[in-house]
Amino acid sequence: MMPETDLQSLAAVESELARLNKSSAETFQIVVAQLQHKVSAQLLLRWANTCLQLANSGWHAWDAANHYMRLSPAVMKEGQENGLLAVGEYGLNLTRLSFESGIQYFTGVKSFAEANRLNHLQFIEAGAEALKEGFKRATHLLTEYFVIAFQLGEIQDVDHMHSWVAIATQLARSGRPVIKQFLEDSQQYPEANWVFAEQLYVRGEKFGHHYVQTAGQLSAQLVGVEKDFETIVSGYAEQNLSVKTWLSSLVEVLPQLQADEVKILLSLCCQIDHPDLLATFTRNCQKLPLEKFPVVATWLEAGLALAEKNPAAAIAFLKLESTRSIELLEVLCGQVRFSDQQRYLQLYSEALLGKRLRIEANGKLGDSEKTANKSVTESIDGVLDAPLETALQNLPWSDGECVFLPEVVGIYNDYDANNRWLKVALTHQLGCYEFGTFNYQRNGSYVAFRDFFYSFEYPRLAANLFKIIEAGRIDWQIQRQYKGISVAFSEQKQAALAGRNTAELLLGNQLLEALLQFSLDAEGCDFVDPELAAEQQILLGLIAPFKVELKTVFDAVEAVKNCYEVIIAYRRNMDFSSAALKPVAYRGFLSLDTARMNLALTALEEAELNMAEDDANRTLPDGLAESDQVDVNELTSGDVKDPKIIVDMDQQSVSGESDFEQAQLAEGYDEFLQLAEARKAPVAEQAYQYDEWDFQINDYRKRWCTLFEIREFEEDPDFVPETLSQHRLLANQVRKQLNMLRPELLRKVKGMLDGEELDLERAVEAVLDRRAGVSPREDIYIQRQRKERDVSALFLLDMSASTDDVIKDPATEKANAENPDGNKTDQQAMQDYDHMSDLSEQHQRFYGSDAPTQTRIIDLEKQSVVLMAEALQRLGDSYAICGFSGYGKDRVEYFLCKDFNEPYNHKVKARIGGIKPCRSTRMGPAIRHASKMLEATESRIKALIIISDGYPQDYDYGADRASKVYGIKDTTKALTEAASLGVQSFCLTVDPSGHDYLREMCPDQQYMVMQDITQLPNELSKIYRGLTT
Amino acid sequence: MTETSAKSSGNTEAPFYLPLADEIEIFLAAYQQRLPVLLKGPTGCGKTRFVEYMTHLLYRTDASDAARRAVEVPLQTVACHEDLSATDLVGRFLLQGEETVWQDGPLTRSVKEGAICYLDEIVEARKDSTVLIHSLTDHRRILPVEKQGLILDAHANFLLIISYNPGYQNVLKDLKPSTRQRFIAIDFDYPGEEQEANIIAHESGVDASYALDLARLGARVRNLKHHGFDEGVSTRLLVYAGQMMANGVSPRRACDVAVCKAVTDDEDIQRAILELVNTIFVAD
Repeated sequence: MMPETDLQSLAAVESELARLNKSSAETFQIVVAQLQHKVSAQLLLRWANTCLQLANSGWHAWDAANHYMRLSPAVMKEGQENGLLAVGEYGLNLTRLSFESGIQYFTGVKSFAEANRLNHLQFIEAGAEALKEGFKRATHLLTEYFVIAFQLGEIQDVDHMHSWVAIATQLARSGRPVIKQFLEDSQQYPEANWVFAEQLYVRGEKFGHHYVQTAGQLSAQLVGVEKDFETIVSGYAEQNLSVKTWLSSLVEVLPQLQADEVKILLSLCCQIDHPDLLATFTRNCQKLPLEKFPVVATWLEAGLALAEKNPAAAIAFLKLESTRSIELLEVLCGQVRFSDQQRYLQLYSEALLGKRLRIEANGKLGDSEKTANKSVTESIDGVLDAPLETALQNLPWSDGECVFLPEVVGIYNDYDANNRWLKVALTHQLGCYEFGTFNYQRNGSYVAFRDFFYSFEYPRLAANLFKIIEAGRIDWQIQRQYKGISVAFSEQKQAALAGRNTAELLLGNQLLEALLQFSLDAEGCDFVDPELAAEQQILLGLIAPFKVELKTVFDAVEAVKNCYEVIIAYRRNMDFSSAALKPVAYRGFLSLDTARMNLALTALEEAELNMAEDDANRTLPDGLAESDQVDVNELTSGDVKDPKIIVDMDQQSVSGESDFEQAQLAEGYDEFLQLAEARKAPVAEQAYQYDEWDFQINDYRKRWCTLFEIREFEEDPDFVPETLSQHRLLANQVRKQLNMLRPELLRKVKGMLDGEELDLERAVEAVLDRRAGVSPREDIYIQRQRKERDVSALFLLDMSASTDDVIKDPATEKANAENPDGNKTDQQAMQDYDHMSDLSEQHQRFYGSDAPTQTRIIDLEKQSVVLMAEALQRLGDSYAICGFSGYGKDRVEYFLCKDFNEPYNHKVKARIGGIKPCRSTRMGPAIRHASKMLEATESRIKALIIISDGYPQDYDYGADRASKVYGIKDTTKALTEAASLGVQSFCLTVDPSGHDYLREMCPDQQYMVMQDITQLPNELSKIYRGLTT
Repeated sequence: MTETSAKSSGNTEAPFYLPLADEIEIFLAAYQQRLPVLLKGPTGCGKTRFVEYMTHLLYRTDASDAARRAVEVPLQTVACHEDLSATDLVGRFLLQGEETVWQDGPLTRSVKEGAICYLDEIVEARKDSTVLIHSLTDHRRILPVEKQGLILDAHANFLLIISYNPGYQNVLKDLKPSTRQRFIAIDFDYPGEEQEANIIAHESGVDASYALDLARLGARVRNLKHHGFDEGVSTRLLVYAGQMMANGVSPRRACDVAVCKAVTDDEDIQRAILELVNTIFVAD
């Protein structure tokens, strides 16, 4: 029992508290009741006084006092009698600074007491002391500190808590932002390894900060790989190297990887000993098949070996930009790249099918980063009519004009196996054409398949049935007809079967899956519900004949009807609207109606071509009539683009008029028209990708530049006529010069029986024979035989912005250059004058009497090619005129004014007129494209004439924008490549400093620096002569 | 300089020839009227075999008359080339000991004996030799032998046949209209798959299934004829492949050596054909 005086003291404290805040008095009363039986009266009085002091310690301090009172029973439970007062004292000091700090402190202590963690308290208080010392009035910071420290204390053990406080103490000396950042980081990732972090903070604040921040962001992804992660971070910290970039790339990349891939990535990162390489590797790891550890490890080893000699090359290697990197990876993965196989696949398909279908890669250009090295897997989802852009990115498919195959096939680790997959996939697509999938017709409809599918209640079910049955039919037909590839088909079918997941199939889909697996030659289908056994038997019975007998697409359509009935009859209430199965990758996809329409259009275009060739005999071409893709109805109606054809057709067809009208009414006619229009529309831009030579890495950057061949651009129809009228004299000169090539077309042929000259050697031999009584030889003459010129020339004009510069008067320029100070003898001055008047005369002659004063470099370039084109028309050489410019590696623009086989018509002239200064001068890709065009001509002499006004440059032509070296080296390489293709190149520049770089760029001195720009047309014709004779 | 081959159609066995259309009837009709015949068609499609077959039919069977049976060498085949001159066809003086001796050329021999003279790939020959045949191929049926100062009247049984291949001859080497319009022209092309299979099976002795596969291969390789090789693959090459197979060479290897490597040097085309072969023929 408490002495009366003590009770009075307590009552006094209570009334004092009540005066301050009623709730405090109430809390006091409750807590006293709880404590008075547990603690001594003396302690209770001291405690009460502490409470009162607390409540009196400042504004709103009663709240802190309340918190203290509330935590007291919990602390006492711990048996911490002294601790209770110590906590109160400590809290009192805090509350004097700010009641919030006190409240946070007491709240934390309470939770610690309840969690039996009061042993952590000393660390937290020590840290707080350091903060208080560092930041005298930073009460908010202190409050924040307590919030976070107590949070940490609840989950961390003593060691980590100790380390954390040690870090906080260290940072308290570093300034407010640093400690604030630390507290934020700690709050975000309280689970961090603080013992490890302390080591980093000791090395440097940045190391610790980066670690905590990244580890916090990636806490979920780093589970199980913390060790590797910490080894890498500490390893670099020891060398005082920052891995900030690596850590930020981890934050980008890791969330997108599977757990296994993260593990592999970090174990591979352990092998890298340079932060830049580490960051580059991590940032680009998604382009790598991380699931194939040995492959990537070997590849990485090669890249790291490169780093010792050439760091820039290693970076390009790890970015998968250099040729050696891409090729090594492909070899290691056994990947097959479509572009490497394209020509043979094209030829193969043409041979097998007897008609030309383009074989192209899936995926758009520019998406190469995304699609590269992403192998086709059996897991791609998609349904028959899924949007192309999603489901079909990597599946083979076809649209009647083209067969699309994946750019990279890496299903297997073996190159040959991947190649077999590619061949089987292509053969399946071709089989659809050979075995008449698109022969299907339905009431003259243009969209026969769609009509057919929509004639059912569940069109998607019908479509899927058709897809399965037809794909099975095609495969079986191919296997029967082509025994050699039958084994490869069986192999793919087995692989496809092994990859089927039948675990969670709906009942309706079970039957479809059973059909599909039967089409893949499955032995049995034990996944089908026994309830469906009867239906399954009927369905398989319906398609079994396809396996052994010759069937057509019409049989397949009949089978679809029958199968559909069987499935629907089983359960009418089953939902088939989403009936879809995982596709079989090698079978890909068919764009059924588009393919039919495209085939019809192709047949029409061929017919049009035939008729154009044979105007006199306008009958329906035999080939067309026999064509198994087109019926006469479609023919008559189909070609509405060219009225001439319709008239022709109508005249020939007895029922032409009615057929035409009837066809217009047919289903899908509008779509057919749209397709026809789309096919007719010229391809305004076509993209090509080219490698670029990087001298720093001593390798090509693979598919680095994207060049757009542009055929439609602004035109100026007046330029050519104006040029010709202004420069009639010069045009004649150029023509005369080129005409001099004509006599050279004759060559002497020895050993002829008659001819213009005697071949002395043979004639003497003949005389000797006759003297000797032997029958003499008769072939003793030399004949001059006409030799066909087999020349293709391409003029490539620089369209960079600098060509917009006005050409200065050559005479004035020359005079200024030669006589800057006027110290010349009279004689020299006289000579200069003569020379100047010569030049002026030339200038006058070139521009005519009303010479424009503002001729730009681009105008002169254009004028030159116009004069050349006029002369070449007479000579009969094949030539092309192109310009190039662009901006950046992803936008190299190549303007095609005139192609080799294009007539020099109004349109071409207008395009030449439309050439205007644009932006940069990335010469490499333009030269590569021009060389490719020239090579395709298969001419004996292939000449490339480049007309420019300066060195090659672009904003990203090399890492250092100011350096010209990268561009010059790449252009040099491009010219060497051209030479290896048999293309003779010649660079003409109007840049006075051209010697410096052209000497390096152009092989065999095949360049010329124009001193007097107005001589360009004349020089051009001389160069042309030189190159082509 | 002159390549002249004389081949006798043996008395005993007729050469194998599978008619593709009415070419036999047409030829017989032309022969009745002694109208010169021009055979057009790609390499190895059976032009020469057809001529041999017809020669045998006309000169060595029961249907032939005594005069024709008496001709020792009923078919004179001349493979024309760019150095083939009129002299090579008509004949020349040769030195024999101390004197010069006249030797008839294959054309003169045919004209005199009443044989068939077959000028294979006529457009390859020099122009003077093509002009030479003009007088033989119209109503005159005479052969001037300038060096002897003679004009020979053709034997009643004499017939001139020429062949050329419109596929790979370039424009410069086309047959001149004045020559072309003296002949009945029979077009030849490669046979259909089944017929070609029969020919291959007969000629090579390979079994019917392989023969059909070879014919299938042939038809598909010919789809590539615009890619650097103008002719596609000839029936003759397919027969060779069959013969290799009949001699125990594996089908894929036989086609590799007889077809892939034979028709082109372009590596991509070779690869495409090889893949075609692998598609059609089972591995060993």
